Amino acid sequence: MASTEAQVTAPSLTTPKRGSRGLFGLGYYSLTKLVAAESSLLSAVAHRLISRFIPIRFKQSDVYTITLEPEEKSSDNVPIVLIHGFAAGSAVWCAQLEALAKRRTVHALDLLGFGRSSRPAFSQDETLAELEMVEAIEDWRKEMAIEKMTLVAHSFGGYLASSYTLEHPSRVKHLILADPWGFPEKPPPNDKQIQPYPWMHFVGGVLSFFNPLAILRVLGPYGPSLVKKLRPDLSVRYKGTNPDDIYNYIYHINAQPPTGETAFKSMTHTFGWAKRPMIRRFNGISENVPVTFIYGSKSWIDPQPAFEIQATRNGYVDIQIIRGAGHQLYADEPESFNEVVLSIIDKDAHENKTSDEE
Amino acid sequence: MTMINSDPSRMNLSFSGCGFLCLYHAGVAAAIKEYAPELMQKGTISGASAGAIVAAGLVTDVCISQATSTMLRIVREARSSSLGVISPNFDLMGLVKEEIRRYLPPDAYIRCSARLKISVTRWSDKKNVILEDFANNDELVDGITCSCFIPGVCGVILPTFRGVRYVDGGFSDNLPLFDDHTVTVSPFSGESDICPLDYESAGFFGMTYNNTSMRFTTMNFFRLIAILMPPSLEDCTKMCLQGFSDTVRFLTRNNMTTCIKCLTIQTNMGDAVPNPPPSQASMISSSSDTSRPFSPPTRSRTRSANYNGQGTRKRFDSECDTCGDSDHMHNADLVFPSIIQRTFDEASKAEATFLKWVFSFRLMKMTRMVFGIWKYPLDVMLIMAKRIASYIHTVACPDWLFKKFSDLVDFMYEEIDRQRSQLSARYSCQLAITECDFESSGQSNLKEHFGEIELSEEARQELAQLRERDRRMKQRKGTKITRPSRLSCELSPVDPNLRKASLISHSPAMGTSQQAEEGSLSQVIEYTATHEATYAFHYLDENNKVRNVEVFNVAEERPCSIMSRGITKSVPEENEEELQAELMEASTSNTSNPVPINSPEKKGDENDSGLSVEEGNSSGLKRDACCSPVRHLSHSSTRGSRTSISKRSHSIGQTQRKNQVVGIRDLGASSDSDGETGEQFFVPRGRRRMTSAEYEGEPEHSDEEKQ
Repeated sequence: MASTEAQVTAPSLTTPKRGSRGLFGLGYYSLTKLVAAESSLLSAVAHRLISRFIPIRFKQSDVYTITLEPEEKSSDNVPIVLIHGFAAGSAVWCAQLEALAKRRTVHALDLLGFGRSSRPAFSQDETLAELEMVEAIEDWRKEMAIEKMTLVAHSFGGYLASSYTLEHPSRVKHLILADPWGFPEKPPPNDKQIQPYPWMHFVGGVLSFFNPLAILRVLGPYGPSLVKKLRPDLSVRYKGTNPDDIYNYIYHINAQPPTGETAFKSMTHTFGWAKRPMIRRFNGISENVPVTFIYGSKSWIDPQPAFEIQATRNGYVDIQIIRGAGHQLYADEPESFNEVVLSIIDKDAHENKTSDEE
Repeated sequence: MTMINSDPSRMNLSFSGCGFLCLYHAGVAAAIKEYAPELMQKGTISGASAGAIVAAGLVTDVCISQATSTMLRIVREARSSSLGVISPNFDLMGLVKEEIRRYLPPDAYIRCSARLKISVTRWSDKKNVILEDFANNDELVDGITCSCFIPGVCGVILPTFRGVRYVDGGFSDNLPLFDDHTVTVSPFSGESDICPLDYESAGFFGMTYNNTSMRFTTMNFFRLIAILMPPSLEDCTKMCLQGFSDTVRFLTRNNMTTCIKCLTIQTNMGDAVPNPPPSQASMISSSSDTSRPFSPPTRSRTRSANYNGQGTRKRFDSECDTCGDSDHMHNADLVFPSIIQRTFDEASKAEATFLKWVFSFRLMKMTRMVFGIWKYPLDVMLIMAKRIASYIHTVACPDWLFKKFSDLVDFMYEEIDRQRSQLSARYSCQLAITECDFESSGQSNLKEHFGEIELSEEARQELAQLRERDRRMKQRKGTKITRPSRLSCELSPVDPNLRKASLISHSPAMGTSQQAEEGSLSQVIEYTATHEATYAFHYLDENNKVRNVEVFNVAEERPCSIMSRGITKSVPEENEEELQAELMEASTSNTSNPVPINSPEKKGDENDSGLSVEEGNSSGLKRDACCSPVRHLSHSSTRGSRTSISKRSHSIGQTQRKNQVVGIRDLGASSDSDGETGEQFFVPRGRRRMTSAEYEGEPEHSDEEKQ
């Protein structure tokens, strides 16, 4: 089944590989199916969508980008750049693209090592791996000839976006972090928590040696149905033409060689805590860069670091919490999320105007 | 901070199904009742499975503290059988039903019809159904029972609601959503409004089971197991308190309450054994103190580090607008002096708990388990027999059959009586004679007359036997009478003031060194003595000790905290040591150099220790009515004697704790970025970045650690 469909050429793009049959389903993926799932998810804006691979210096890789040009051109066109979270791709912003692209260009990129971007091996060192990913974004920006951008980043993307802003603050007009990962320090265990049985720790310890999504790859063609079983909510969150699109999309972007995942793993210690928490470094970001945190009220990401940053940072920090939204807040409450982002952008534009007049 | 789409006036609650984890819900309910009563007074409350019980409790406004104690009692019963819930002689649904009936007010169904929504699964088509209309209390109980019924575990015969068979709501919709403003409560860490934040994992992955979101964390796996196999009562209590503090966090974030400071008191009352075997709990706590990282002092550490206004920011939400201060919120989650019972008398421990020690081996546990499994068919047969008997009772059998049957039984009884009477015939005859004599001679002694009656040899023997039997009967009766009397004497309430007095007599001695310092133990004691607990429950732990947990609201007072304390009435000297340790600790953190305290406990009065047992029991009884506020912190007097072992292990724990205090303080300074230690954490001070205005061009500085 896999082989026949892999023969079909993807219409709009040229990719070095079209997929992999894998060994007994191990590591099976099909770029054709991925493209199909993606275009289905993005069907609402398909006619305006420009999708392309942007070459960058790092190991001659390509960064996949989708771009939506605004319907009405405005003089002040600071593009919005959307950065997805862990184990996701640019198509997860399907509910944002059209709304945000009313007056501004919107780019959504696939992080290097994730989505449809190339999968170079990253450094084993957490600092270097982070830097490589951040520099990939910077190369991408140069290639795209973007002078200044509004960064909207979710989850793990929020971590990288913060790191990017730390390195290149002059390129960021406004940093919008949606449920960013990797901010807090791992708290010391306290006895308020119940201690699970020792064997659970053991099992957890064994699991922590594997890449987070290794099980998905091991299952091969059964992967999408597993994701569907575990996360029936995803099809409600991401509505494509077909309810299975999101599962196929997630499977086929994560079944590819998991270099991004390995890099993520090297940046974390046991169970997803950042080795270099952003809260230690966040105040190093130039205070000229305004920052807005958006959290979902139901999300498991604790907004506490944002409050600490607000209390200690000299620059502009705003915190918004969207009620009823979970971790994928942009998919749970797309209207509210878009509204928040647009209001931030409008405010920025307004301030720009007033400062120009002065 | 801006809250988008939030409308507290339209909020309604939904409790997820979770089996024995409903203790978490109980904690949530207690906090809601205390701090956001508007949530429970209007608006619907929905629930599935065990959540429906709590939802019904909130709608009908039952005493949450009492209900929690009842839940803990059921948990204890479930734990006491070797196979837990599935052991056939444990009738979970029966217990639950009975307790619900007992708690519901007579007009419960009226209130529930308007506001309670119970999620159930229809057995025939496995579809979700929401029950929201109840004609009487029986129907309400039926509805709740249906929602909680897990076939196979809770029984085989499916319960019905108005003649339709339903099973657990968790099979179709475990977290019913009423509208967009539903506040979801789930004991699983995941995407719910009120749920634990599992700090041990910050991973992304999770699953959704019938609307209930669960992250893949170790704790959630533990909880999954705990749904049907309740964890230790200690853990249940922690769960309960976690529910409480998670709710407080939620309410504060939504500006529905301001500035909550809570104080939890955990006490345990000794059992009636004067010199009890060292409990398992005590062993655990003593070992945890030296080696394990989760010892209760951790809490006191963090608390005291925060205490003197160091401004340590903790990772708990603190967005209360009225305060403008961000470190008030964590108070709900921290704990100040925590005293847990400990026993160090190794010798007596080894002796008294040999059996327990033997059973602590895994092999023995397994053997016990295997035995339990082997016993299972027997149990099942027994239960089946019981069920059949009860079934026969309910079924009206034809009269002739009943008559035949009763005739048969009567015949058998008669036969047995006749057989028996052959033995007692002569005996009654003799009695008649003595009686006759007795009446004629009035109260005169019988012995004289006995001589006059001619008795055969056989009769004499029988008389002797009869006498012997009488004597024994009398003895047995005597003990029967004396036993309760002794018990009642033991249980007789001792004037609480007495206990308090003894307590206060201590406090000046203790307080001399740190009277002025807020949050000192004496202050906490004083506070608890004069205030009402907002939430209190109790349970019997594995060693038949009554343990009390009380949460105090100290919002208007000095910053205080959740406080956990275990006081062993039975081992008073250890207890006192603990107090001492806490004081030392408090002083260490407050003045940042250890102040040696003269041990006031040495002066303790010897004579009180005998009384401590009664005290324990009395207060245990007293706290049974936990709706009434508990004012008195039980406290025991001291004895001077200490074993060398106790001293040693104690000092270890203490030094360790001190070290940790320092560690915490460093951390706090770094996150605040105003301490000297901030340097090592890459946090540049905010004021130093004044020059960053130059950053408008290509030449860019990278942050420190990238260089």
